Amino acid sequence: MAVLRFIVPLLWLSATLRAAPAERESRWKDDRLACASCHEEIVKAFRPTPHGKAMEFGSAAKDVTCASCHTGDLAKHMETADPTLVNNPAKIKPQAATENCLGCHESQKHMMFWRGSEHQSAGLGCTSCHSVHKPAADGKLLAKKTQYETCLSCHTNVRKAMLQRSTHLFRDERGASRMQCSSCHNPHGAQTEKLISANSINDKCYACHQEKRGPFLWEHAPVRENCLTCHTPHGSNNEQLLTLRRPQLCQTCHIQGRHQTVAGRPNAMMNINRSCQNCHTQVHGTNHPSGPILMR
Amino acid sequence: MKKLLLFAVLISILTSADTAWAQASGSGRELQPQMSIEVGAGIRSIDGEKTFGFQQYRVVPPGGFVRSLNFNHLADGNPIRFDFRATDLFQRDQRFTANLEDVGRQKLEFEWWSFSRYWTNRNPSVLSEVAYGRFAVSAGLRQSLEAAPDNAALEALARDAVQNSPQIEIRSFRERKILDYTYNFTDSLALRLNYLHDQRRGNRLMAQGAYSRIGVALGDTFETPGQEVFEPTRYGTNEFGVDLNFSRKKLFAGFGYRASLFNNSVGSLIWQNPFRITPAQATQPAGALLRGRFAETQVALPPDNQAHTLTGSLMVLLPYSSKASALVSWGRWTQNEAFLPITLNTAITANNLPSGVTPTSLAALPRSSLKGLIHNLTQDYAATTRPFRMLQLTFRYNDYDLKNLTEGILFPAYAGYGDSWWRTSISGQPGTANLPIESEPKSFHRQRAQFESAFRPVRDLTWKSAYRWERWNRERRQVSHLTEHGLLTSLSYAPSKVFFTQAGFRYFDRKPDAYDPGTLEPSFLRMFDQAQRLRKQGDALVSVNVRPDVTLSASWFYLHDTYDKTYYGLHQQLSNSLSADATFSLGENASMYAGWGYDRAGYDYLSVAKTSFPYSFANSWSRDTRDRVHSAHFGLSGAAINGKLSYQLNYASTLARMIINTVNPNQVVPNQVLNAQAFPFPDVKNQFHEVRLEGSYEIRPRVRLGMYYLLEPYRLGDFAKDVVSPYDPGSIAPEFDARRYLFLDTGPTNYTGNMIAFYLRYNLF
Repeated sequence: MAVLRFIVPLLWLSATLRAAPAERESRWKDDRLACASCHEEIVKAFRPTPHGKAMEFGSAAKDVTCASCHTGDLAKHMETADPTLVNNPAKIKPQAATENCLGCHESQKHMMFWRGSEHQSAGLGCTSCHSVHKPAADGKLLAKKTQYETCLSCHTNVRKAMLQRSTHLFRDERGASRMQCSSCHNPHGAQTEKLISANSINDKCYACHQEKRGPFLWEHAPVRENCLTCHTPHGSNNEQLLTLRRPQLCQTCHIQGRHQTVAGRPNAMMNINRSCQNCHTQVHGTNHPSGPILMR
Repeated sequence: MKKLLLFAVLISILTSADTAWAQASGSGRELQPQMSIEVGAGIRSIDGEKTFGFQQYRVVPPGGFVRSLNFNHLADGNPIRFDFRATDLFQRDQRFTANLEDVGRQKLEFEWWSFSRYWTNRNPSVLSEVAYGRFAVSAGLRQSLEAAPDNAALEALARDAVQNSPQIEIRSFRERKILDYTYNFTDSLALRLNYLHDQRRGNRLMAQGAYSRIGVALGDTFETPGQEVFEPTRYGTNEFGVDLNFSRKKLFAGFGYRASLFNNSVGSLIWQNPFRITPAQATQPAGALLRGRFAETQVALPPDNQAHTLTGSLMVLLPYSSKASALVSWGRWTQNEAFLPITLNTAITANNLPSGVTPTSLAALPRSSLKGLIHNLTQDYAATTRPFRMLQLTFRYNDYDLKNLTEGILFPAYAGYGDSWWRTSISGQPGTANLPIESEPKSFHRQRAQFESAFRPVRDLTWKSAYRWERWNRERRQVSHLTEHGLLTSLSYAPSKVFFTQAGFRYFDRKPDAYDPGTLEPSFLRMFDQAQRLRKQGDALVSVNVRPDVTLSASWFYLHDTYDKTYYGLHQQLSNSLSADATFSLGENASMYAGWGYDRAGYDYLSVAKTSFPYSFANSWSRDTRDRVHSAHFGLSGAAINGKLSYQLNYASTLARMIINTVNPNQVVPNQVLNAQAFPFPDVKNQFHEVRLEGSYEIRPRVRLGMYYLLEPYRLGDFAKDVVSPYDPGSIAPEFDARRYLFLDTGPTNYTGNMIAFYLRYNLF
């Protein structure tokens, strides 16, 4: 019944808004209709899309028209029907096409770091990933069906992560993704390395793993500084997205002179199951007064 | 029945809502509502000993299901947009989104999803959960195990108890609801309100153990008392956010506040020792300690915490395609959960507590809670300009300053040796004083600056070069100051949309100002996160449309970190990957893809086993791990009979092998053979295959009948897990007496999963 608890108010609100008199004037007028006289199917399909709605009811000051993106000599194009007189953003280089998009989208928060970002300076642009007229999926107007398909077409070395022993690229029984690339990354540029959309890598991790934020009485310094000291975020052949299996991971930093220095047989207690974490379970920090060596 | 009723109500609401809207519009505008439902039924079969892996991150339901319910309302000539999407309704991994927008004025977005994480199934446990956070063992079992006359009797009793224990499954669930509302006061000024509720329930794995050193013939041998338990998770997080954003054509300014309040309603886990009913202190027979002698012990679970963040951002567009951006964020994180007592073991005696105060008393604590406080200041600045058409210059500065303002607390002792001994200090290295039991809140400050140029000497060719500087200042760690300099360069060439290639190289040199090993670790060890490091990184990518219907692409990545090999610790880290992909268009209605990838990761480190202080370097041993993954994928999809028939076949696999080599070329000190000798480790193998087949046919307009099939065999061979069973101390190396360690049989998962389902997809409008 929880479904209804949330959906019913939403539907009620939407019906109320929809029933309200449409006070707002549509700007879907002559110039758009002029384009429709030749490109009828395209214009008809475009009108109810987010961009179409923005053109019709969005900012009057911006007054977006077909010509906002399809720049060129429109008057002559309408006389001669010569397609070369008008730019088609889908057919020119993404970086050039992007300039049109930025006219509206650059002053948005998520685009703050676009110029100079890894993707922009690598020559990518909006049309590298998005399609205004022919999106393969609703929502973010992606040219491919899913974010995974979009991102992994270039970041091919991440694809295997879906099929590894531990992964963040969760998929359901039909192969649909349960976590998106954009859950952690902002492909339009971000303040943190690897386009992480948070103040730091750890801050991004705390967005879902809030219990690890602390502060704790006893902390493990590398954990506080960077989760990626021990974890690899996409997928791993080890448990728990670890970069290296235990005890090797722990032994790269700890000798100390007691049991952790053991090379040992493969079935030694220090090497089996969770290894060091068979006892030192609280490696992310603990609040127990008896936890200085992160056991409780 | 309840689900069916709910589903019917949902459908009727959606359809009636749409009718209401249609009537309300009234003005002859064209309405374009779309609604689709996919329902079906399937069967699944999962073969194998530990089958939880098939549902590790998902729910695969047997029987009927409602895969999707989608509703779009897009009316021409009306500024209202509404869409609703639901996936896997009534399952424990269901998902809903709803968006309602009055274009240009206000927008309401709602998201609700749940997620299931299956840790393991079929685990016998002598523990029973009598309340959240409290596990009990039958008093009779504890009495008989404590009174066992000898090891053989103890083993027989424990084995029998485990075999007759009920089996539990360990699974956790997460549910998240997000409500996001944006109101545009004007074209330039917008207010955004955001609420998030995150909830986690269920159990996950945890272990508690201690080692008891027993003998020194071929090396230390250990008795290992311990218990693998299932930690209860009862987490809840509430987050509230408010943002005020101002944007003009060449300006963006924003100010925001966000509060994140984490709550754990089970603050600790108390469990009874299956092997003891009488609490006792650790004893010291024959030069060793027998540990883990508590009757009941307590583990701290994550404490409640709070985070408040203020963020200001500014972006200005300037002439010459220039832009300046700044983002400043200040955070305050707090945690003040009441401390637990040092121990619940009433047998432990202490000689440094005030008269009348026992180790189990809260009065033994110097403070009742941490009063934890962290201040966190982030500053990000970026400026970019294009003074000439062929040149783009970018400067970025990132500053992350985390100040842990929590006061250090000096405790009289902690309960060590498996909660059985009053330890008043932590032993340091020889020649150093023991460390007091004092918390040391650690702070750090990271600064990073990068200056980058992108130069286009000719059209289609871009040469990027950059210099990066990074500085770390840390408190109370081995390295206080660390500086890294880096050079980055790359070349990309994109003469047309059908050809793109890029290659890059990065070189980083990181040096600490000084390394203070402290007293806990030996002076010859360097921790890799603070040590001197040389990093070389390369990458290349090429993508070409060899014909209009064929695209080929390949990529290569390489990373090599090297550390000073005159020290112990990590010596090198290596990773590289190679992949190749091809896509083919088979006419207008079909396409095919194929790909292959190879990844390799390696870690080499040097360590040493101790006999007695000082270290005997004959006990030095090195270990390298080589992790290799071959992956392949292939797919075919298309449509026929004028789009009435659609089909899709996908195959993917990964074959992973990890090789672990341990080497000790020295004559091992006789009493350290068990610890310092290089025993061979078996390879760890991980094989995953996935076959997906889907087809659907439009049996009449707006109605599709479909079928999908999934075959997923998974095999994992991991020596570290293969030897672990709930109670089989004989499988553990003989130098460990594991008769007092109870595992939960937590892995590995090996299964062959099959599922086939038929569905009906119906577009109502």
